[in-house]
Amino acid sequence: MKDTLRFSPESGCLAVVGELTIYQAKAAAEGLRSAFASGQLRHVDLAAVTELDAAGLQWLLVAARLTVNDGEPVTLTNHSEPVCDALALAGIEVSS
Amino acid sequence: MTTMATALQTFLDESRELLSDMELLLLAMESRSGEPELQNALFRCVHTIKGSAGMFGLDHVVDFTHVVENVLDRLRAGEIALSRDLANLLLRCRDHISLLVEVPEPSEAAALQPGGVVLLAGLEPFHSCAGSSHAQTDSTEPVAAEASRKCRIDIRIHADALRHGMDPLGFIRFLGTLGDVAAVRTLEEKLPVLGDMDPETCYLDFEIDLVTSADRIAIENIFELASDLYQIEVQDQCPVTEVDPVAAPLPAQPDTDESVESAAPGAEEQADTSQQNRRRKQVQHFRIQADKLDNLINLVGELVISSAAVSLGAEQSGDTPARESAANLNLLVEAIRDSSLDLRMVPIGETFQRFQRVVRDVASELGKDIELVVTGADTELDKTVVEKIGDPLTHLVRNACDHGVEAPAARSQKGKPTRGRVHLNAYHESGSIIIEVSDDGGGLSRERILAKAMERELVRPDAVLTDQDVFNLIFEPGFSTVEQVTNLSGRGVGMDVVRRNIESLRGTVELVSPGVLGGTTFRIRLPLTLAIIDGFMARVGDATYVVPLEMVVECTELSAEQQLGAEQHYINLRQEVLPLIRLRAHFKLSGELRKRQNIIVVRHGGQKAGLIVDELLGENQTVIKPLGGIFSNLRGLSGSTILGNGQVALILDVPTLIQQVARQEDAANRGFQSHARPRLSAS
Amino acid sequence: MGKSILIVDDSASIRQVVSLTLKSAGFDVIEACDGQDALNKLTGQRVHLMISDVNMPNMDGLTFLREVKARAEYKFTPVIMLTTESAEDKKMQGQAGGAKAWMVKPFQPEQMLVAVNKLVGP
Repeated sequence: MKDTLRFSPESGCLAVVGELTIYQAKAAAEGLRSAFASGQLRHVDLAAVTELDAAGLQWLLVAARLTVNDGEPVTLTNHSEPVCDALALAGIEVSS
Repeated sequence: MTTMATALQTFLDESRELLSDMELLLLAMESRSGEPELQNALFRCVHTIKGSAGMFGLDHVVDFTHVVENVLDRLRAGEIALSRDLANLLLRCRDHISLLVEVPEPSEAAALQPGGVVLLAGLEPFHSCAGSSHAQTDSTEPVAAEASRKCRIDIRIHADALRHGMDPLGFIRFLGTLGDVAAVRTLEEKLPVLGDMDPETCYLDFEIDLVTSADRIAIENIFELASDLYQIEVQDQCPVTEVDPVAAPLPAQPDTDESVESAAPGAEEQADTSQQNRRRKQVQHFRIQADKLDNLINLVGELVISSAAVSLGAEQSGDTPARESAANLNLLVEAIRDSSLDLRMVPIGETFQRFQRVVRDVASELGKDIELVVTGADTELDKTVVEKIGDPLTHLVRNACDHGVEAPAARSQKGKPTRGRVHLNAYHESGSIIIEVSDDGGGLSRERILAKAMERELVRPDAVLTDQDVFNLIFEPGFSTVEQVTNLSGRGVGMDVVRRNIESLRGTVELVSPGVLGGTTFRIRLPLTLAIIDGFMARVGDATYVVPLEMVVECTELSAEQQLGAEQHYINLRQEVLPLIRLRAHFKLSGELRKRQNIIVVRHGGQKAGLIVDELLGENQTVIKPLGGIFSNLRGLSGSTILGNGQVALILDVPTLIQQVARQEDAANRGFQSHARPRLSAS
Repeated sequence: MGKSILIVDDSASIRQVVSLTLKSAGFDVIEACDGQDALNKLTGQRVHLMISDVNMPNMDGLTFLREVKARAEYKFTPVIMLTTESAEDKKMQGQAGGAKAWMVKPFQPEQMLVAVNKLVGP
């Protein structure tokens, strides 16, 4: 299986590719932890997310709470349609 | 393409199979009732029928099977035991279920109700409380409409919900079908920080405002499927008179799977092929409708005829490549013919198994103890033959129980075990299937048969008969040796009907005594198929006749000095006296006698005869077509076929022809005719 | 391509009805006649939902559930177990632990479609 997460430390961008569901939850959590630990994480790119379930939703919510550089929040960007749908179902507004 | 109609047909086929299993299991359990395997299998039969019937809304089947299932459930739980009475009752319930299943319309099931009520009353002592079989289906009843109002739904989710694949988002999406989701609040109080998070645990709960006219039960029912994982609380809030049209439904979900596939197309493909590989290893069966198969066989029949026409044309054209192609085509058509006919071959075992019940019922009616032994159940024959052999076989099996196996007292007197045996056996022998029905009874009494035959004036007192001749007398119309006509065999159906039925299948039946088990053995010989045969063609006058090749022993052209006089009825062929059948005379054909005549020596059931024809034409594949009305009275013909050149040829019914000669001869032997003739030569 | 659903039941007619219902709603359906057959047919392809009878010959539903859940690719796949009100089935339901989706036979095809829609969406 391909990696769900691609992190480029130069841009600080963590890209999520493909499904973000219970099946990828463990790997996605690991990836988020190591990206965060590197200190380079700035934003999460959701453009290539094809499916999101409640496990993926939890992951997004946890990621959005992270702060770097003395309180600057990690931002979620480029929400794909499946991401928007899942957020709408959960009653969560997308702040752009 | 599967439709509900074909699914219903599958249900019928499946139920019939299960019911026949059920019968066998019940019979087997009479001696091995304690075996859990059997108990479970028995339960599953009824269980499956009930489950499937419910899917089709066949309530009359569900209601009845529900009670039977309950009894079988208690049986396998060891709460009740299988007494002989209960076994009898369950067998009758089985019969009733098979009636119920066959009812095409639930409304017509009412006629069967009285029978069902009696059986259910009989089951009363054996089943526990008759709980409603509709507990589940009730919930599909339309929900009583309530006024449209806003509900607050609290959803508390078990930590393991995600691990079980029970995604809350799916349930929330589904709530949208009950009304308008006015608001959703995701409660993330339990959600830990990244470091403490187990990503597979569910930390979320939800609160939803739903504008709906559905009642609370309907809303709670949505989560019933995962009631162990979801705790639901529904609170009615202010009623709304008008649903806000602006609260737009949620956007339709885009087809995410397409992109999933394009993300990893290679992997998907790989999975597909390995799946196919694995599939190939298993022997797979699938059902097809019988009439589709019959249609195929008919088409193959036409193909065989067309192919013969092509061969004929190629032959006449003298064109070598065309002849080679035609020869190739012929080989392929033959292969297709054989494979197609093979499709229709079924093991006889299923037919044999039916007789377990027959023997059991007959034996208990007669106060005898009889065991049915079945061998050769795997022997295959054409489905159409199987369907038609049931009645004659039933008669022979009943006969074996009734007249063959002696009463227990008589058996112990002879020092035999009181339990008698009836044996059904089948095997293939040179293009035919042989079915034997044997019993271990006393065998036939030559004297009693002969005395009876004389009393009935079937033979003259001074006739000289072999044992075989005497035994064959029981196939004569109106023959019965048992003075006291029992309620089983005295049904006006005699052995002559059995013989006629079997002969109509181009088969024969003979009687051997002492037989395989010491008593009598009825041996039925049947063709493997009724559709297409290899034939041998001959011409008489302008007409072409076909003799089934398997019955042809040899063909001889008579030399000048062998030519026959018109009154000659026998010929000495290599020291063997052969009765002759003049087809020209038999079918009253006009035309000059040829100078040179030919003889086709045919054999059937141990007897031989010579057919006199004008010209031998050689072998062909013969597709048997039924005879039209005008021919049906003609004795000696079994069917017609169409030749490659489009002409119709008639298929000779060799058994009938031979019997005709044999009968003339028998009559002569019994002394009804004045001039003696030599006996039929036995092969 | 629709979402993929596995139906495991020893009754061909139940399989056909469920399969027909689901296919008409746009799902892909894999049919298997018992637990072993189902395991053979699951070769790593994505399956969104499994529906399995409890009481089957060869391999019963609970054994199948145990075996299939041991495979990483199906660990989180939702499973609907088909059951009846018989005592034996209830016992098995108890053994299976609480956290499963259960459906009681007989059910109407529409009920099944509803359940499927809840778990995997339309």
